[in-house]
Amino acid sequence: MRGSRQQQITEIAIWVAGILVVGGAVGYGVHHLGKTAWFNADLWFSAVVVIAMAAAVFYYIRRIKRDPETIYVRRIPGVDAIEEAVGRSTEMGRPVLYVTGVEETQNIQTVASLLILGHVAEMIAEYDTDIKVANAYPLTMVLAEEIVRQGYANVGRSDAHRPENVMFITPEQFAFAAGVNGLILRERPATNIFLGRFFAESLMLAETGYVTRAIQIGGTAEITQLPFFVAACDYAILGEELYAVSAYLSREPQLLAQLKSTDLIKGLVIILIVAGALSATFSSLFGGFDLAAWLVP
Amino acid sequence: MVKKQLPLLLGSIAGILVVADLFVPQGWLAATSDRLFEWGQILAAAALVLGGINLMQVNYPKIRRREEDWPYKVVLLVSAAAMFLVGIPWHEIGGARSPGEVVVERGGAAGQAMLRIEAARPDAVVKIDGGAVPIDGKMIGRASRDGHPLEIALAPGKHKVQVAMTASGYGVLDAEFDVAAGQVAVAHAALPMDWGKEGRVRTWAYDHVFSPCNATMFALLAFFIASAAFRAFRARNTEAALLLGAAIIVLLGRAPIGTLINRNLPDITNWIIDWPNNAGRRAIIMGAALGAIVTGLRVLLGMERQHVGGE
Amino acid sequence: MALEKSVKPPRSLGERLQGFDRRWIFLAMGLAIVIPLLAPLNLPFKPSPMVKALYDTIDSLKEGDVAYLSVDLDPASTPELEPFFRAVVLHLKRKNVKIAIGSTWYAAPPLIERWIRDAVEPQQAFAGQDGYEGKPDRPYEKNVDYTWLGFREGKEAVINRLGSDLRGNYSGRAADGTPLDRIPFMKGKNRLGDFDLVILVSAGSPGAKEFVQQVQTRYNIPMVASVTSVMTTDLTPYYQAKQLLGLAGGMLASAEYEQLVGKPGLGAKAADVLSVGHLVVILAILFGNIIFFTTRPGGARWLRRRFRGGRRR
Repeated sequence: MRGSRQQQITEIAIWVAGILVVGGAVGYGVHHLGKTAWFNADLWFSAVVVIAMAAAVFYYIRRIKRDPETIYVRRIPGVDAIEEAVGRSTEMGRPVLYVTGVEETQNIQTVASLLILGHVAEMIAEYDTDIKVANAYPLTMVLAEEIVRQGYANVGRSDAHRPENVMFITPEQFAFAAGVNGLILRERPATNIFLGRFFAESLMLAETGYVTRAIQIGGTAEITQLPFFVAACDYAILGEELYAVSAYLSREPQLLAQLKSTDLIKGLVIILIVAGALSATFSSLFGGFDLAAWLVP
Repeated sequence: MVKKQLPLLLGSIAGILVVADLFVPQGWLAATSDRLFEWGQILAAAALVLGGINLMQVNYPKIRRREEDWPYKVVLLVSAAAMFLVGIPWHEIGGARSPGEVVVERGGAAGQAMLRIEAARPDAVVKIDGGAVPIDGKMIGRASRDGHPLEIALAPGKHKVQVAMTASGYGVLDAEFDVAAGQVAVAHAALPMDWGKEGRVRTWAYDHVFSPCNATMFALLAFFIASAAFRAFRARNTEAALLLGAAIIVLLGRAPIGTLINRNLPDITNWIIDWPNNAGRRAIIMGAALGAIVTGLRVLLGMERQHVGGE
Repeated sequence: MALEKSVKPPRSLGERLQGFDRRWIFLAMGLAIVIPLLAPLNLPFKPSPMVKALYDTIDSLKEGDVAYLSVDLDPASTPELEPFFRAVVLHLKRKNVKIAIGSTWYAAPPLIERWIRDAVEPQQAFAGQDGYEGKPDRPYEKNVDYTWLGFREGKEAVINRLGSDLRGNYSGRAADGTPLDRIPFMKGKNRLGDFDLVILVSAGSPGAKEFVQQVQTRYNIPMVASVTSVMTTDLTPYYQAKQLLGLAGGMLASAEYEQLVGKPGLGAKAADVLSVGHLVVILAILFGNIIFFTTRPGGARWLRRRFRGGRRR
């Protein structure tokens, strides 16, 4: 409709103007404010990407709140399988094993895994089944325990939560693999969920889980381990899908807005790649201009 | 408010400061960011205590109830306790013992300077002047010869002697001395055994327990890869068949046998890895990077609240 | 009337194949690893361009240059990386290049200290030695020709700091407590960029990738790396972008580098295992596909028609 279209254009114009003003102020600061720069000019492109992403998030939040149907999110089979797998565990009377990866809490993949754990914990509390959470670092264990406790509390099942189900194994990579393998072979979980950053132990965990005939959902953004999860797990969540799972499960407008903002920035990235390839191929036509060096000095 | 909003606010402020440090080259910001990282490390170290307690809380009840595989849990707790104890630098309690000293005394043959090694551990190795003075024709010799302390004639003047055990975890006598003709420099090498992170027992446990176990676990991957390949690499459709073909070419090309089969196979393998493989990987990396930025943003901006209690 | 014993019908070939026990594959892999170690095949191989580039970069160092060697690994990755370490140390010692060794992995120091005692301090290669045609090296003296700086916890933060303040990172001292000021070749070496070359021996994270991202990109430092096989694809783009001047990925690359240095050792022995092991994996894949095609509906019939000339209906 014309009215809402005008509103959209106005909003975009306000955002662009805001970015230009902020950018101008920063640029002014770079040139005029004292000897110590207030902005590392070499990183200008990274700053633009981050600001653009934040701006896109806010824009889509407002758009989704106005009209939730405007956002389409494609199916991620691995995520859809989580609820089915939890149901299967409940029927079989066996627990769900959730592994948060082998990296420390500050790693973004571990953060993503912990955020998903909250949703899975709520599901498990609703289905009244058991969850075992294996963590490689104590701080991750502490956070995971709090998240699982809150998940149970959110569905009114605080009494069912058992803190000893959230375990610290060890930060040593292969000792962690041995510990989790032992857990799998003893507890025989019906579902194994491996989400987070993994290294060489990914295949060991997945193959051991296969022996116990568990349904396995593996997800990581660690490129070198993706093939192992694809080969050995029933469902694989690849790369950026790991970061989308939380939004996908909760369907909160704020989180869905972030998926859309990622898509928008991806579109810009594609344009830049094409432009960069053209500028590199026909650089003589552009007076020797190097787009890559200009963007990232 | 305190339980949910305050942690979000603190997290946002800390995160924004660290992100700002990347873009704003101000000393105070860098110092603040460094301090935040240090606090994070201190928190992580404190959490280690919680981890140890959790280890006890999870495993001890299973031992008491004699649940399945309870002996392994005894091994777990005993070895954890043992490594904790051997990691304490016991030898520094009451002051670290000296590895030894070199004392120059009279009593050598006229016109000759001597070095005598009196080592508490006869199988210690000796190096004189960095190996420049040969001992039995070699640069390194043993501290005792036929059950007697090693004695070597030296040119009068300044020298260096090092007496050490071949295994690490013992003190090392590293001393300079000045010996004149007719004098004997006696190197009293106590070479006390060290404890702690570089101590003998911990090093032994590392070499004879940790290293083999670590290597064994990694070696299992060879078997798991074969088994996973057998199970998963099925030509169910055209794409799977292409993947299968590429996998076989790369497997052959990355081993010497590939060159025997066809001398172009390594080049074809490198082409597959350098071009189509890299193209796909870069796409996944870029997508994952954008996803990571957005996840970080939503935690920083307080949009994600799972870690502080949901809605 | 007596009850008849129930008799299970014989299993078809398809059913028996479906129930194939994967422990046979484990056995085949075990034999594939052990037999070539006992009876080497000595299959020839030639160095790849990336390994050749790595060799040439190190060869271009001059006497008196100082290299920083970051050894970030654990016992699990020694088969792939130890051959490279020994070969690169021999290469550097032959050229009288001084070496500063550091690590960001907590499991590495005991290994490094052992390798220093075995490979850095004593002479490795003698003139006229069997199977060796290169120049001899010489024994290296601690804090005169090489120094062991030790391990620092902190992962990427440590790597970042190496780029700006290496001395601060190691508190101004080597691992044995010797002040860096008292080590002659460390004079003027305050940051990674002050070294003539940075050599990375890396088994994972933190490692070569973090060094390239945090330090090489920012300070444009000459860098080469030896990594495990699985990391090769991750780092090849950096080699293509000339951020890494050479790259050795995996056991075979370590063997190739040993060959270039002129002293084949552990890597060369393991290259045969690689060949046979890869063949076993390929056979497992093919066998899996045979099972898949024979047990799917119509599969067996198709195979019979194809290979026995059965009548078409």
